[in-house]
Amino acid sequence: MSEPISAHHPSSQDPAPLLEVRNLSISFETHSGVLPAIEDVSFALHPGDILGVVGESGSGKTVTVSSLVGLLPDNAHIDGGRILYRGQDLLTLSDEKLEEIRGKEIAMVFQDPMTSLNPVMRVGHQIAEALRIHGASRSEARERAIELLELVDIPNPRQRYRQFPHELSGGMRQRVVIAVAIANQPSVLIADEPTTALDVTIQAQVLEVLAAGCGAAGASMILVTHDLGVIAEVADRVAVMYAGRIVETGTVETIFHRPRHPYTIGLFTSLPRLDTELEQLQPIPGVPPTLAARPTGCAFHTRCGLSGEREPCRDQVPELISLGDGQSGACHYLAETG
Amino acid sequence: MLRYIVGRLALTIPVLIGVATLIFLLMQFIPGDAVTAKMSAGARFSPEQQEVMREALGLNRPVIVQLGDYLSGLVRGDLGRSIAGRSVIGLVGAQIPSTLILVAAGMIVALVIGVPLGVLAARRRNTLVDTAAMGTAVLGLSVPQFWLGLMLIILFAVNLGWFPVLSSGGFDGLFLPAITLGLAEAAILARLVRSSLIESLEQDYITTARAKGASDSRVTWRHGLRNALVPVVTMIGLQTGNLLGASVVIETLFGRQGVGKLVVDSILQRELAILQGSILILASIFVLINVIVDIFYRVLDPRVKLGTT
Amino acid sequence: MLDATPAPAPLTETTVGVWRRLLSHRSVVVGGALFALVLIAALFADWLAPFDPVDTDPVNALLPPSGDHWMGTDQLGRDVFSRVIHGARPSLIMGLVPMLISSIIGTTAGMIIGYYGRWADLLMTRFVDLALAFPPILLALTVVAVLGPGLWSVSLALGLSGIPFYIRMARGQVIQAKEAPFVQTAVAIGASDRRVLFRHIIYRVFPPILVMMTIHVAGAILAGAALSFLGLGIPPPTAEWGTMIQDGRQFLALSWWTAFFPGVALAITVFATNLFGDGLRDVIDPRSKGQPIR
Repeated sequence: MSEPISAHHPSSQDPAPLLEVRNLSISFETHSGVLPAIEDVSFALHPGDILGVVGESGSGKTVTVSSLVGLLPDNAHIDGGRILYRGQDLLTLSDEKLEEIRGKEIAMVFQDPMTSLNPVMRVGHQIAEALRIHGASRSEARERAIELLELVDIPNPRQRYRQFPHELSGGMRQRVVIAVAIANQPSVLIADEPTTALDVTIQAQVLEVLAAGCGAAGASMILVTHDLGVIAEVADRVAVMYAGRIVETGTVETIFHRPRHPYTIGLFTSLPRLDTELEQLQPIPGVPPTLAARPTGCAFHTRCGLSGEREPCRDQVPELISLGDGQSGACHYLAETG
Repeated sequence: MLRYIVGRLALTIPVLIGVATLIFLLMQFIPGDAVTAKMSAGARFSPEQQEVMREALGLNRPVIVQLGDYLSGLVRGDLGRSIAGRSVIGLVGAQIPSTLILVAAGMIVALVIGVPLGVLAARRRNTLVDTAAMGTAVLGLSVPQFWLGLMLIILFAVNLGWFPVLSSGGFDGLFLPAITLGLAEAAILARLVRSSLIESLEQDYITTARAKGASDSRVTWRHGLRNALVPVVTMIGLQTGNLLGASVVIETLFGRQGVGKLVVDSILQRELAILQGSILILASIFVLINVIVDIFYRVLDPRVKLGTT
Repeated sequence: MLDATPAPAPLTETTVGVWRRLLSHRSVVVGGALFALVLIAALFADWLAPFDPVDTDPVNALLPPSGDHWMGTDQLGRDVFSRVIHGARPSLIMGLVPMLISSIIGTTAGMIIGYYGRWADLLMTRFVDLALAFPPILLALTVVAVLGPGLWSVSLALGLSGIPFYIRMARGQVIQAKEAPFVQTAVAIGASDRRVLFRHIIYRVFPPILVMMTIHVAGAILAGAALSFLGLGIPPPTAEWGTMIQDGRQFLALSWWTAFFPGVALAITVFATNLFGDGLRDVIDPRSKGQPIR
């Protein structure tokens, strides 16, 4: 189980992953006791890869990526596991060392551009600040910030530099957020639902800017989303999360063409698709479990069409089993979905 | 910006006229008038003489006419005359700088103590430090200023001899009154800074700043406090009213010259014209300070559009 | 931001729940207990005080604290301890009466103009703005100048000067509440204005007003004492903390105790009220940031 899944990833030439998460478990201290948010999560990110993380809200995807940069809320507790960045365990680093990595080596793009920019600071300064923190001089930071505004396709970068967030549209603001993230040419870019809060009409543009920015910075990316379309468009590999665990992972091609976990299958059959016209839309029955009421055994068994409440599903947590071609699934009855 | 300032100042004119009217009307309820005041000061007039004097001073005219007279006098910078016949604007005007200095010094004390205390409590929220800081703040709010001032006088002026007992001019004499005046406001500010900063530190842009690799102190001061100051500045404008009001007590306590002391003295001596003038001046200062705060607020928060009122 | 963070507890709760949380809130309990002590002192001053608060005894003037006179004696030989106990009465009256006057008049007026709006609202808002252009204690000073010194005129003065704060608060709450779905529903099913206002909206108005009332009591006690200190409040020989501090001021170099103890009593009373008000706000109106009225 401790074997990282993507170790067998065929498309990656570099055997050493850039970022590797091993058996990470995080819980929250709440009014109703200590509740596990993610359990035993493992994955790896290789240089140049874009890893998509999919799941419904409450599945623990944001918690997972927040932990990578040490931005968990105060009531979160890391119960175990390791986060290895270039072989170094981030969980053992001091705050100062982590601050050096944050924003320089690992940077983040947030979900809501309406709230993630400081309302009383000029957007240019917010980009320049990322550079200043990591050692750029005032004039260097300024020039580079203007270049970055240009890079993320913002017209009139010199004028925009002096504007405040409220003077920019949502799409523009998200470009600024992307510019902040790629300012220091990080190795790892984490994007948490980067287009969810945007107008549908500009989502594609911003996603393009994000992918281009990521490429320009030479970064690998972890892209968190609940939108399978976004994954299909930009990601190389996918990890599907449900109730705090990774239930299936693989390359985009395998997951999209041969999903094996009943939850992943459910995700696809609940989506309208052009290539399977005959099939009726089938929403997954029930609702995703809340943090406080996660089912025992396989957390999906209460909604699973396959299990029919079979005993192992209720009692035992299924382990991720390699299915070849870099695909793995965590289900007791994978044989029935093949 | 200039247009906004001019517009904002123009808006104060009706407010000031309203304030003057309100004070004038309140004064009408005070028993006695300039003539009886002179008599209680020792002068003796026959009823006929009194009538003649009232006629001469225009006190027999309808209130509305007297009000019009008073307001038109204001426009010319005339606030009437004291019992002894001295110009009220001259008497009150001479005291304005002293009161302004006291209020400014008190506000500086409040800021210097209140803001760091609030930041400290917010950064260490729900710890012993926070509880202690906020407990001190509630205590600071609860201690009567005139008593605190007296105790400071006993300790620092009478026993230690560091400062003069009575506040003449000069920095020495300003120190204790400013501390006395500022401490309660420091307590109010500390509480407000704390709650405002805690709210601001929970915002998404704080996470963004931290994700850039910003240190804790940079996040707190540059991003957190900068945003938290927006409501704080509004409150400071309102607090100035408290400071101006408290100057009445502080100036009397320390025997310091000022508009506040003039208010108390004129009530005790039934100097209605001076009372009217002093209160009008204090209220006007308050109104004008709030204009300055409004302007500053727009500088602090770029989301507030310039030019709108 | 974090989608796994559980939602906070629902806001709907019973009166019992509020009471339970009030009684388990440290500030409420400590503040309430201290205030109860002051109340007991005020109610039973005649039994609790070892000496008559106004009886002079010039031979024993300015005695330092001792076994006989726990807080010493003042310049006329009166027992400071007895005077401090009796001083609780005027202070509580000057705190509670203004609060009642302002809250009843101000809340009613604010609710009515907030609900009916139109010209009355416009007129009243202008007037409130005007009244708020005065530092409150100045307004009270002027009213005292009109009414003359004394317990009831000070109480009335402080009560009048507090009204605008309640009008503004109640009006604001009503205007917000008018848009709330539960009020719109009540209107839609044909509830009368009076019913909407006093059966529905009032529950939105009441919590912040209640918090304001406690904080107002603290401010009024302080302001009342300050007026007495200035010689515009309660005239001697009545035992009143502000007046006692003013008296003691003249003998400061000789006897610190005459001014010290009344001030401590005053601070404790106001502290208790503020503490109670803070706790009350935490429990029933956590969003507001109530500011003192003074």
